[in-house]
Amino acid sequence: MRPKRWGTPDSLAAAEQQVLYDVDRSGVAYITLNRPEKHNALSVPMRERLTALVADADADDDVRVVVFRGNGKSFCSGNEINEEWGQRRPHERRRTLDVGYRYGADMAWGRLGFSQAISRSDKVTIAQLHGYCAAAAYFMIACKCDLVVAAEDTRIGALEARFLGPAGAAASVHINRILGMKAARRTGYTAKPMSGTEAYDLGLVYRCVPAEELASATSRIAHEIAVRSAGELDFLVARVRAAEGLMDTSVPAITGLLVSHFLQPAPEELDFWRTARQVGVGGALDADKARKGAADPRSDKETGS
Amino acid sequence: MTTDDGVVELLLDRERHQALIRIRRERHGNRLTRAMGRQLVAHLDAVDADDDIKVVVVEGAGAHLSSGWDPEEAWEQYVDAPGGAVKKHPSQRARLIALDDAWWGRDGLYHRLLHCRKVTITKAVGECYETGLYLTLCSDLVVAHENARFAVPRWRNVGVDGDLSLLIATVGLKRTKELMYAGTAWDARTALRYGLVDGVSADPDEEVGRLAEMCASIMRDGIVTEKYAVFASLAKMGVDHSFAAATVIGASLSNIHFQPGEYNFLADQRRHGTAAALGRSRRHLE
Amino acid sequence: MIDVKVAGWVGTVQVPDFAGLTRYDADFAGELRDTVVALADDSEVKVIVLRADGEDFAPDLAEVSPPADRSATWRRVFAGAKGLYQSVAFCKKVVVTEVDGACRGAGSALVLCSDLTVAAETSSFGSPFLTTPEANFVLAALTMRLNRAKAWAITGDVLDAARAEEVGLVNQVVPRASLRAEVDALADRVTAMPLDGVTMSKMLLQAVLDAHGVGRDFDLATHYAARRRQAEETEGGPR
Repeated sequence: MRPKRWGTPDSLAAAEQQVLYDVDRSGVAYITLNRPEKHNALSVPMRERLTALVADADADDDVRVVVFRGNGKSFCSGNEINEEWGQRRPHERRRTLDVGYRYGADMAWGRLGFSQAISRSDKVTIAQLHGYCAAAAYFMIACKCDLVVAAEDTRIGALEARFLGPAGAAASVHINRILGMKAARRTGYTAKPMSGTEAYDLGLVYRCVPAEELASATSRIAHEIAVRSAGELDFLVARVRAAEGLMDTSVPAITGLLVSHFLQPAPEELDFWRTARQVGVGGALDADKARKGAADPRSDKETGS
Repeated sequence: MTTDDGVVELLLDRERHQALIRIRRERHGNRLTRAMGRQLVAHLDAVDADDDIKVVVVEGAGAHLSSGWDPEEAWEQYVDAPGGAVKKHPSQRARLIALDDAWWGRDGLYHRLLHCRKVTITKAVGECYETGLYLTLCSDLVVAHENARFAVPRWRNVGVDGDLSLLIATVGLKRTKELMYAGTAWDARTALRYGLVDGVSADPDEEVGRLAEMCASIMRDGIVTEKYAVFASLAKMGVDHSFAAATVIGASLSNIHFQPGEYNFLADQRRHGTAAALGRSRRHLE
Repeated sequence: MIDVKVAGWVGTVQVPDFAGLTRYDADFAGELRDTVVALADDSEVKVIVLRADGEDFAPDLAEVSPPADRSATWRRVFAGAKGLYQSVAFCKKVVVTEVDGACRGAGSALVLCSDLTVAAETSSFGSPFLTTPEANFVLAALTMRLNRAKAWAITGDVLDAARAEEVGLVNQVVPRASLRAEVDALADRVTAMPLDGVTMSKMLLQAVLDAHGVGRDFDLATHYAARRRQAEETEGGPR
């Protein structure tokens, strides 16, 4: 028996073109998200392909560094929100807890999920960020890479917290250790995005550059690392992974992401899922903006000190 | 004997889904008594139980958030605890119970604030010493006035007896040790740079209001489900262990022996009164 | 080799530099370890200052061989529970490192283990993890935040004094000319804490560090060293 491959026929077929892979002569592997029309939103087949590609890179002795990047205006807006691929069987009123936990854990944040594949990679991993780096892209890709290179005006964070609640962004031990506790709570509970510059100041981003220099800066950093001895890199990566294991930065398995489909909006609260099904995610965000206190994560207005 | 009674007020604004807890003991820099600590905890209970409240703001009336806890209660709390008055000096069990009950245990002020199920925002103004610092550490979000100062002056006098895991998780290990050992107070800008506070403003009310509004617009289910994940992650980050250690070390330090020449706050207080002793023991912060 | 003075609750340890640690000079490390432990046991000492009187706290060394992980000396003097780094990291008194010039290799491992660091504007800090497998990464992560520590370890970047202060590796940066005076002033401020208080604060810290995995990272030093040796042997070749 083989594990079930989740997805619709279309999303399964499209994944190969939506996540590109190539390795240059210097040992830098590029995993490129290629779904620009949807800000590189990740389907399950795309996430499974990410996991498989990281494994390929790990097994390839010529690869020293893996760079994650995205085509189009944004790095990635997170997991696809309205993905329908038979998660709910006809007689079930909604997605079951059974499916919900397996979906979350195995296809996202659990030990079998793609975020763990990235964080446990044997190679040096680099995230190249521009535009939006939101939700799962923030939580499960950017935070899991060893180094992050970001354009100054990148918008990074748990933007989905606007309508879901923080769903792990405040609780994650990993994020607490990367940003410091106050920034982790703040980004989770206010859903305010960080700019690349802020993320550098907090400690998530290694190098922050003007957007037009992003690709060349990342390439330079990746190649500087790639030319070093394989033994050295091998050791340093293993060294760091071991220590991270000792610190136990794993996300508590009980984050609210699991229950996000059961969240019950109060009468005056936006029913985001219902609205998104009706008018799309953008329309739901617009509707959300009309409510008091809502801060549109897409807005360019800088808030705070 | 405690001097003037302070109170802790609770104001509810269900329409805006916000609560305000205000510490009132201005004449004494909002230094907390045990009774005030219990009032604050009771207000947190009320906030947690109110489905229409999503955010609670903690502030001090007047010039300071809180400049510590009432030193007049420092010994009294042990005497009043079970086993505290059996012999001439309070027993070790009384000291442990007192610290656990008031601060670090399940119903203690800091533990209770840290485990509040709603979003907590502290307005840090003026002296945020000892209790003021721990209110800052145990809250989700903190806005500081430009004039805010953060320190734990009593550590210099008796040794370190507070939780360290929150400090380490917030400002890092060496900065934590700076607070422990260097006898300094951090000003608001330093606190911002170190990651202790989220923002600094000449008008923190405005910034607090804005943050409260943003957080209050997030759905109730989202806020509370995340809080339960936060509680689990705090346990993973060693906070439970650290709180327990604070109780034990705090009780141990109440047995301190002062070497010749070392400053004895309690003796100074007995001889010259609280105000004089406080002034002397905090002179190094100026 | 090692000069020690005790006065006013402060034990000052002065050496030419700490590069002997990077070089795995067991005599030097052993004497330093013994000195630190003796000062910690001294009831007239609350603060231990580690100072290099040369130009560099721990100059870069051209060729450093990874330690032989099976060496009893290495385990006893450097990496073990009673070795130098753990004697400093879990010291019962407050340890202050005074840094000027280049702090490389094991010098940075020592800085990580110390409680407080004052550095001259002219100082700079290289990562210890390649030269010194027994250097503690968990301490680095708790000090600098996780990703900064990872980047430092992997890239081997040298942090200048300003950057080291920004990330929290250094508490205070001062002009070179006033370094010694500032360290002495800091040590003096620390001595205001009662003796019992100093030692008990270390008990409190021990509990917290245990919970965070600092000891566990030290405990794996032999595995790290073995891996480091292996990396040396397979350098440039296939895995």
